[in-house]
Amino acid sequence: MNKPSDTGHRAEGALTRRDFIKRAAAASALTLSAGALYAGLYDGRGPQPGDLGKVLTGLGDFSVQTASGQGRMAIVRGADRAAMLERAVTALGGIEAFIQKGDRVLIKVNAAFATPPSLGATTNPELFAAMARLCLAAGAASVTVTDNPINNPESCFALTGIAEAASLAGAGLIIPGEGMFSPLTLPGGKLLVDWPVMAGAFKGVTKLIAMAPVKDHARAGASMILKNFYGLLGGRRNVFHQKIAGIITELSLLAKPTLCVLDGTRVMLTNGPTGGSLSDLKAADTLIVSTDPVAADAAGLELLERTISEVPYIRMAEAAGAGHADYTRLNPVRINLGA
Amino acid sequence: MPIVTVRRISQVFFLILFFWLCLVASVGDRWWQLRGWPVNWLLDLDPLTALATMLSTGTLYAPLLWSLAALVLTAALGRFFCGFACPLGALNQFFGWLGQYSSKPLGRVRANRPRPARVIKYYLLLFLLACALTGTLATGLLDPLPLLHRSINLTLAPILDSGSLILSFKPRHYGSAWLIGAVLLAILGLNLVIPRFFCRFACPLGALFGLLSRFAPWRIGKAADHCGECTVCEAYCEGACSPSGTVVTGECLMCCNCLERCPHGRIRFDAKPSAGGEAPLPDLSRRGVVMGAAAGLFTGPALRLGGLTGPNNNPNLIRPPGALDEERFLARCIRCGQCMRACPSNIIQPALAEAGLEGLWTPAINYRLGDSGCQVNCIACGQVCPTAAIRPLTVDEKRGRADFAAAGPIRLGSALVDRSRCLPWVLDRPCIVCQELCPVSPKAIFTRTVFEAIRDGRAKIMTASQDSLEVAGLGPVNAPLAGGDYYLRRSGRQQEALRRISVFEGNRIGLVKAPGWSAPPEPGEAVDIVVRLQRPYVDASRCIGCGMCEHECPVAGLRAIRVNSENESRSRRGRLII
Amino acid sequence: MSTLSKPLRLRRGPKRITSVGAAERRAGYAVLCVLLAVLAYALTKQSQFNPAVVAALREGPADAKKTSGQPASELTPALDALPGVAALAGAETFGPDTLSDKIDGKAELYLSSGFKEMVWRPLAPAGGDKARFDVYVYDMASPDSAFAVFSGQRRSGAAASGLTENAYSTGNALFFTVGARYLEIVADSDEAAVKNLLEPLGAALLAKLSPSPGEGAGRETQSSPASLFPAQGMTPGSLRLAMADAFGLEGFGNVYTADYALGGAEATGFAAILPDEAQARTWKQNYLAFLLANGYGEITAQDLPEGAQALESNGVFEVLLKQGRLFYGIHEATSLQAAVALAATFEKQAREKMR
Repeated sequence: MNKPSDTGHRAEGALTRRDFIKRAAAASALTLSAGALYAGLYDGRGPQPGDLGKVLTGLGDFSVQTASGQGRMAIVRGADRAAMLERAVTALGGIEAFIQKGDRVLIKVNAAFATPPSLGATTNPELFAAMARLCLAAGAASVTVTDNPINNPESCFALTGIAEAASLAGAGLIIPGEGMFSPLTLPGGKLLVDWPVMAGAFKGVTKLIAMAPVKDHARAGASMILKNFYGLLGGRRNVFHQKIAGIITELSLLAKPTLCVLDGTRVMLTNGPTGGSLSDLKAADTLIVSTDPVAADAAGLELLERTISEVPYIRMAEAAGAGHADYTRLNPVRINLGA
Repeated sequence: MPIVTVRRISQVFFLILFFWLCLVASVGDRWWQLRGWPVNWLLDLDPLTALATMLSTGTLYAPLLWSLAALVLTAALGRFFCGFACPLGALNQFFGWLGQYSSKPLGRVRANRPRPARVIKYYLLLFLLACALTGTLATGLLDPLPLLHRSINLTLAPILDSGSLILSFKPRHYGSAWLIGAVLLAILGLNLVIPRFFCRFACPLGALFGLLSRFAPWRIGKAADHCGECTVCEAYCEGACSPSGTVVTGECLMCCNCLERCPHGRIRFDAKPSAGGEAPLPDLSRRGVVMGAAAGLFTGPALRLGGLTGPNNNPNLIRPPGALDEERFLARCIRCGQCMRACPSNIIQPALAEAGLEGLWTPAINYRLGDSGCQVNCIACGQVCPTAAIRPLTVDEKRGRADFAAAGPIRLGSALVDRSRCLPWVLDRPCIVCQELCPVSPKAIFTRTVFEAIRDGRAKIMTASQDSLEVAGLGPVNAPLAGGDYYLRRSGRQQEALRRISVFEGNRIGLVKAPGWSAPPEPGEAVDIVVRLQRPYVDASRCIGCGMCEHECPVAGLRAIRVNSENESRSRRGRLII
Repeated sequence: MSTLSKPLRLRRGPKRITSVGAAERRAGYAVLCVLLAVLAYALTKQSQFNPAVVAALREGPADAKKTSGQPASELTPALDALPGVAALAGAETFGPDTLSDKIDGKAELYLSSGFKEMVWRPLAPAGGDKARFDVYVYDMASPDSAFAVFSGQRRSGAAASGLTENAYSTGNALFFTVGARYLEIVADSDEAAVKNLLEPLGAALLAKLSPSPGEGAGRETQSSPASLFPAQGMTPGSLRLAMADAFGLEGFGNVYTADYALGGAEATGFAAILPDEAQARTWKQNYLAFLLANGYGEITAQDLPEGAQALESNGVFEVLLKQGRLFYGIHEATSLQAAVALAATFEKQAREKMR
């Protein structure tokens, strides 16, 4: 490739000097580009261990500090979920109070069952889409939605209408895969010890919104916001059914959401959590939006016509520090849009 | 002082420095131990390591900044490193000198004639860099600095250690050291055939220096085209770069012998082109370049097809504490053997097949060799790793203390009891060596006590009192019955407290007094001799895989408790969940 | 650099005829300077210790290294993870051969009483206080052995502790037996904060060391004559068990003793239950012979129980009695009257209980 240079045969003098300058310039350029490469790739810290073998201690605190320093809540009566959500969020200070430009928002819905939205066993897709649009309008860099249904996630997302709603609203759908689960040990936890949770969905996430319908639950008494975090668990999570109140209490500490949207437009009064018959549902025409998941659940209980003593995990979650069981302390804003 | 003399001084200096830095790489604060000696300094000077790790990891580990100095000097002056600094170059030169000792001038010229094969090293370099680009760092196999470090660390140094015991307190062992030594011997021996054989044909670092010197403003050359053509310069040319004809500057090793030997002083080191004509590099064929690069791009992924870095990982491959996950590890390890030399337990060994072809001579722990398991307070391997393939840990991080309490200790793997070999599990022999040695607190190894009737241990009572009895019908018992682990049990009376045997003489058995029997057994009653066995179990949530247990397990062949890579901190694979 | 030109002199052999030019010389010196700089760098650097060396110097060798050379004991786990305290070092185990390495001359007391092994571990309050506890767990051959070493060292005037049947505490330490184990927990100060940790620590150890299923829980065996001693006048906590060579008589073992203060006089009662009556007789004779050989002379005294023998030497009195397998008596009484009175009650109790 390289032919012998013939400069040696020529007379010395100007040519040689020019040759030297050219070579010196080229060598300097080589040196400088090497230096730039070195500087550009310089790594003073060395490689980090990576999160491969690390046991997580939580999925993160995504709550936002409110002006009063207190949790906030809005309870809206009406029938149009999207409109109710909008009014509720406005009442809490507008979506900008929760979602800032550039935020990466994860919406945890209830898509646990491959049932249509009408049966009210899962998060209503229109409500979810309205939430996703609100976030994107506020400048969120991305909105993703996820859940870990027990059986066949794809069909769950499809049948519940969440998948379509996500694609229409411009939200990304995260379907759980094996690689997304990392072991987590909750500090002080008794049940969540070295347990796989869906940490992969939380990568880069800056805000978390929990959205769930108000439902009866055979084992837990009620399934609302807190119980919905069950869907972040992997592994053979049914073992926790024996200690359902305990696991929900620990789930309340797993991640602190930015906002909780508890949908009581249709409430599943009986045969929860799957329901199946529309007769299981009752129109309660209420949407609860709160920063406090425990308060949201406590408010939801009234829609479910249950008392707090029937659903022990609410008090337990309060004792664990996840929020307030007496939701009236949040001075909820009550709005009636008419049914 | 002639520059050749300076060059020799410099070579000897770097050779001694190199040996010194190898020898002191064992942990301790004496002047001949590790202290703060910059044991990696020569490795840090290596721009090939820097470039290859930049390709494989996208980062430059801070200590490798040193290599910029070598790089800049080469760009300006040419391959000074090969002539003045490289310790392997110095050894090659010495052995080449030996080989040519009695050669006639013409024979010397013939030995130093340029050979077409010299381009191989450039293709090799491209191959290795292309490999690195795909995440497989193989430069260390041929890069002279890691190669020589590895060879000396794993062959010469331990041989000296075992001879004098000055450098190490115990003889050291390294598996596959024979092969590493054979490679070094071959490299040195080939100098007897052709001087600087390795430097001229195989050295990828030399090739890189050759490329870097492409624009060096100063280089060797003839001052006048019309010399006597005595070829004395060629007779002593280390680089075989034909200084008497068209000099190939990229091949010049800057031995400066031509400067010294030219009878008329017509060879100079100058900013002017050679009057005899010059070429920056030997003729590289396009085909060779493409093949080298393509083979490299192919080899890395091909090696990964076996899945050794993933689902097919070798459970017997234990990497040192702080080692990155296998994929990132292989993108960094240059197989220099520094960790193996520094390990005070001598358990870090060069892998031969354990890590696959890709992992040849990378560090793998063998708990059967060496003096103990991985000492819980030792962080030597990561602290001497030149590329952070083994991260430099603090003791706190290794043990999971202080700031690292939440992360927990670094686990090398997890021990598991082989119940088909463990003495109390299969041989009815009391043994709790592993439990005793477990350094974790609370211990990761615990025992469950069982009492088992021994073979032929049933006897009939002839006479009995509270604390002693005469028996008959006892089979030949080959066990220390009075050793404290053997008890007497009345047949059919499982509820009654066992009586520990304190005396065993012929047919007379003495018993530890308490607890006593409610009433001494009657003559004719049957008794069983039972052994108390404390069977070991491993609590995987506590085990750090340090291998103290495996190292000391009295089942000396295939140990009855062995550490596998399950649960190792560096990867998620094989986590023993739930 | 410039060319090396001027020919000056011819050298031997195929070497250049030119001299070393200034540029070459300067280049040579520059290289040598670089070498010196490298040397200086290495020499400077060697004094800045590698973290691995710092760790090796500060942390010392691995915890698991045993310094006594004795294999670790099965008792060692009991000294792990105790509440309220942190270990200052790993546990060390001492056997009969190495016990004196740790406790020097005290070893004999244990060795003569059926010593098996001892585990020691230094602890500190978990809060990081300066205080220190040394825990010693002696594994003895039997509960009797443990009682022997416990009673043999009982500190007079110490407060009884409710921890176990045999337990007492002093200003800075707690001593007790559990099964065949004798434990000492010794703090380095008697400050209340430190002292208050003793009992919980003892309780935690007690819980961990409770006797294994194959071994009896109590010391109550048929060979214990502890209950035979007259209670009246007995110095509290003075009941002791000599496992061997009681009163200096070679081979005279398993002897319980208790001290008495009787109206200004002092005396020691003793009792040993032997395997059979013949042996009891033999030991009584042995002891009598031993006393006679040591300057005692037989005397007669009124009100002596039947079959009792009394001896005297320089105002010190001995009374020897036997009841079946029981050999007992009064040792080193400072008055004959006290000796006789004590012997009488002793004999009465022994006769009743040994039936």
